[in-house]
Amino acid sequence: MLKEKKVYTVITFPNTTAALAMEESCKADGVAGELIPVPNSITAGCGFAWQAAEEEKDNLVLYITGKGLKFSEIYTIEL
Amino acid sequence: MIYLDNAATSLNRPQEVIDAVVKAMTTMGNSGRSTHEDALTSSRIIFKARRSVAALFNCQAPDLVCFTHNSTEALNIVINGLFSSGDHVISTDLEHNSVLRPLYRLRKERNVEVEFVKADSNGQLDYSEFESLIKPNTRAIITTHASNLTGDLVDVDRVGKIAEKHGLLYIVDASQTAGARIIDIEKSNIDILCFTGHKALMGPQGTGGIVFRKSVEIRPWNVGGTGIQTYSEEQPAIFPTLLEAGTLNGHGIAGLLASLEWINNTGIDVIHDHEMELTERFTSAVKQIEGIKVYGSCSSDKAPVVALNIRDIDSGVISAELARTYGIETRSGGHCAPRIHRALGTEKQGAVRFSFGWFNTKKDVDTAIEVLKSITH
Repeated sequence: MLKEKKVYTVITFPNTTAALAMEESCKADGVAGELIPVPNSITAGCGFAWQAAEEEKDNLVLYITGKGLKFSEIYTIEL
Repeated sequence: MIYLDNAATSLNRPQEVIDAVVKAMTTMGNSGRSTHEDALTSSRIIFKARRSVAALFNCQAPDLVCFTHNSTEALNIVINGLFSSGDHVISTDLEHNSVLRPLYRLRKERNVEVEFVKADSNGQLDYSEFESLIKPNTRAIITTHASNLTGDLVDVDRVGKIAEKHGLLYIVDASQTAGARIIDIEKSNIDILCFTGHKALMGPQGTGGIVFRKSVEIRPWNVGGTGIQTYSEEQPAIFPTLLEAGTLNGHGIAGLLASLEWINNTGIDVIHDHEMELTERFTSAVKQIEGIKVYGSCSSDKAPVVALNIRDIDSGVISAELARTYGIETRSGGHCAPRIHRALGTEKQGAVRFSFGWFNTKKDVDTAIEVLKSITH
């Protein structure tokens, strides 16, 4: 059964390499989230996006910038 | 059987490479297309391979590594993607047809000017010729890193400096050297490096790639499915996707990743030293055999390749005799390297090429030396 719609933090990437670098880094550091297909409501370079809980947004912004990880946009959207 | 045709392909590979390919064939989905676990497995392996290739050549960003099926495809993508009417390109007599034929075709079909730094009768280049050939419309210098016939190296540091001084792209065909020696694209000012995975890198056939020092404007050879920007009518202008239309050879790349990890663990300098020891052992002995002519510089620092002839006997006759009677596998003929054969005067006779790899031993070399002594006298 499908989950009810919910608001998430979604991060897009310029290419798949950047998305996989994000996944590897987050896994190693225990950062929340997972790779999902980029939502159809978003136009981005890469077919992958990083999805995490809405409240993780600030942590993720700090984490990404601190690590110097490549990304395209950060969204707060209902999925 | 003694396999001395490693310059054509590595027959023997680390078991880890074989295991990785077998595992990949039952575990890898299509990379970059979905986020289910099997597709992600594929994406992760290819990502790791991209990063390993980048590290091997000191490329600053893994997304500047584009996978192809071999060096020839890599060189075709680069040469066809960069040059147009009125451009001038400098190359050398040492090149393989994987460089020559794309250039000849551009000369014929797109009016691209192509000139070659000549090799002398011993297969050596005069480096001052590079600068004397440069013109206002020169766009690039393309050289092999090592002749696939003589094994002699091109001094890529020297050519890279010339290219940088004149603002030219420097493109290197590393088919014979990737995996056999340390290559640093930053140190050598190599803008684009084309490599194959199945020779000294000991990966599977059907793997190879292009390594860019920085992003360049290049027209892709293939366009099509990429898993991204589906509704765009154009190929996404993002590296590496720009040059990777269609499903990648994920199974092969998994094997290539295993070979890169194996080489990294073993040490590329250890591999290089072993192959050079065998090459020198062979060269110094066969040079002494009356009736044998060895081509090239016979330098102690080269690709592990030695070309020779016995008197005026057709090289194919020698190579076939070595294989049938003695189980020694070599390559004869023109080696897809017409200009260097013309320079050496071996166009009609060809040459017998012995090429050594990690899995060869001193015993292999000594057997080949003894057989050559025996059949020459």
